[in-house]
Amino acid sequence: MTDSLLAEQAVSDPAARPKRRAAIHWGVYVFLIPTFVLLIVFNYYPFFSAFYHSLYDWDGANTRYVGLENFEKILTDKALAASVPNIAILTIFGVLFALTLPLFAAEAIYNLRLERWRLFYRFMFTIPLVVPWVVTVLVWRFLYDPIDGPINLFLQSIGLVDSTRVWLADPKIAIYAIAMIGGGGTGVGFPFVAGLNLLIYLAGLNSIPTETIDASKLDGATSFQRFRFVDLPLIKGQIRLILILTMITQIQGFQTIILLTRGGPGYSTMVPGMVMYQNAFEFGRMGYASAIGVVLFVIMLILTLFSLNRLRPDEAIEP
Amino acid sequence: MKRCNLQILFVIFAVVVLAGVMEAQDAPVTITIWPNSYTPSRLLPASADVTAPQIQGIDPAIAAYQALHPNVTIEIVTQPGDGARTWLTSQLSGGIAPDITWNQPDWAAEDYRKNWLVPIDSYLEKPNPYVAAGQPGSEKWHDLFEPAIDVWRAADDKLYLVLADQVQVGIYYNKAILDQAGVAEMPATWEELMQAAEKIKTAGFSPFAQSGNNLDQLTWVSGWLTNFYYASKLADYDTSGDGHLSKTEMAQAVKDGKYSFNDEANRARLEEMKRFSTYWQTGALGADGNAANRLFLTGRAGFLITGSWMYSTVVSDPDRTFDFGVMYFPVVDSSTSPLVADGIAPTNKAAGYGSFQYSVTQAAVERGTVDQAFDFLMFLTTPENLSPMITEAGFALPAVKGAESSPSLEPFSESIGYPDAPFQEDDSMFDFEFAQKFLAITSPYFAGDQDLEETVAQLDVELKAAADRVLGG
Repeated sequence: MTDSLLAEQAVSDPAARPKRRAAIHWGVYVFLIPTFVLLIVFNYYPFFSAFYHSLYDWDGANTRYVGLENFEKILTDKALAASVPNIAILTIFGVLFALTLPLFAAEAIYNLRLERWRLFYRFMFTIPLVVPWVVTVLVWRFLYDPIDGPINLFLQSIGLVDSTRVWLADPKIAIYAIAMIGGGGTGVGFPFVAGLNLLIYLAGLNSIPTETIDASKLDGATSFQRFRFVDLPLIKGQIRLILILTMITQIQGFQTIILLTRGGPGYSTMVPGMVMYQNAFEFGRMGYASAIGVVLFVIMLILTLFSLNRLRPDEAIEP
Repeated sequence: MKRCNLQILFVIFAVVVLAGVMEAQDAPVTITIWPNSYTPSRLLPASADVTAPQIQGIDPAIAAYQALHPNVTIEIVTQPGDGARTWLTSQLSGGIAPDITWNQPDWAAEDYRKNWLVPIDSYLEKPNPYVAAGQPGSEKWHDLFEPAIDVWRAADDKLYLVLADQVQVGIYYNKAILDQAGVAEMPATWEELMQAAEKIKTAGFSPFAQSGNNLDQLTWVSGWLTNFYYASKLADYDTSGDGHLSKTEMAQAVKDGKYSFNDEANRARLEEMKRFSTYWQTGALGADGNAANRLFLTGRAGFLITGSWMYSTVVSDPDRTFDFGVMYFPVVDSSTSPLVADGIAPTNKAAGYGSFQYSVTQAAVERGTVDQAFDFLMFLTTPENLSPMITEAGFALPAVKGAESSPSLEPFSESIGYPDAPFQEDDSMFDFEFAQKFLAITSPYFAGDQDLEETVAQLDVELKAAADRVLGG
């Protein structure tokens, strides 16, 4: 029997259709196996391994069961204690910037009359996505240089000599200087309009039915009223997504810190991710670092569940 | 017939044995090595710094060794960028480290406890087959080395580092700035150095270009001061009587209550460090090594404390428009503190640190390449093979008898001849964790955000924890 005949039979015989579909699907799923293998090796295995090793004194070579001792140590770890207010500051700033400025930019672009201008601005805000993040951090390091940095030179040039600062070297302001870069992770710094967040907001705004917009206009809603009572409720899903992603990025991030300050001066820019990294790879206390990782995971899980619960997207606008 | 059979059997036996011997001799062996500073430039990413020296590094020695041993292939492993400690830890814990790896003495002191490194002592007792008969090393490889190789004996009384060269740190100075500031003579004491710094500051320059966000310069100075403030305590701590304080001896001194940051000497030392910090450039606590180097090279700081490895860079840097010189750390005496006796001799503060400091790893044991790895190291450490490497690179002096040194490193050669500093620096005295805590706790003190009492209290907590780790490990 030829393939074409089989195909004809499959079309004509409803009972044969699922079989045929299953055969096609299995072929597709085979191609997913490498992805799953990599996911298991690089994501799932380390994830479950961290839970297991958090109960052990593990230095990378030797393991000894210690029960909850690692978690008890967390409570008395000075570096970790110092990192809590720092990560709170970075997360608050990060969330604030991620939720507001990209949204305002998206609204502004969404409301442009001419499509070509919309495309132009979307393009301009998206370009920074292709700039390597390390380059951005190194640019900020140059900007913050207390002697040759453009920020201090500008302040001096306009007579604000007293406002110049040693931005990354002053324990009182270093954490805020990090916040302006976008936090400890790979966040987006000043002017805080992250390309990805902007695109997510724009996608949300574009999905609002034109009938809804037209109806609000007919009802005489001003631009602000439409933003407040139509757009915002209908992009709650996007807001929630950005909120959760930002919180996770901020809480687990330390890449900027390791490049710029390594947590110093003192512990003034220390963050939990950096404490975890130092313990794992510099102090050889991988069991303890695993315990820190587990605690961070639990905190992120709680915050995520809280956000999911509190920010349910509206299905429709109530009349 | 019987005789014929025997002959055939003998021939077969001889062929089998001969084949076995030939196979053993010619079995291909691959040795991997991470040479770090001696990595040939051809294997490194192109540097934006056009003055960076282009070196052949270990390449010629590898070619010569492979010519002698056609069955051996030496592969150079490069470490991807910054974070050498993280990279090496991952490689060692994963069992995939190179057979021979560059290693820091402090890292080795922690990693041998995890059985990641092979002790070198038994190999040091063997003859080096590449040394001519009658020359140092021909009977015992150990005889080939300068005494510095014994500095980093681990707590188990074994050595884990083959140290064939030595780096040194010194104080680079800008002659033009010193002239402008009226510093007519080079400081002979620490006190005179501080007075010179004050004059430079008054003249409108940064006295010291300091990288305050890492431990290097901070602990080079703090360790120098320790050797003067604590000189009288050496006999109390040195239970082995070898004139050198190991991590174990210092940890025991802490446990016995003989060494604390609340000691009069340590309090005075911290205050002197704070005084020193007042001569750093603005924002030094946030500056890294590159920022400090650039400040000095662009003629805006009088002094830069750095190592012999920077010498060729300073010589060839296009931004430098001034003459410079290098001096060793000046002695501390009673003019700085009544707690310091006069007449304490200077010591070699970098003894035991080099660029050629290699360990053989446990991974080599598992691959069955340990003997070959040591054989290659024996070959590398002969004066004939080592001299071209270190003279070409120009950042270290030899720690092998009979090896030649780059003439440009003459300013560092005298201090290398001093006796080894008995006290290690604060970042090497215990472990890396204490080192990081030392930096984190002292930075706010230097910034003026934390008083001496709080600093001493915090340091003592970490000191006791570090002593427990060293003794309990």
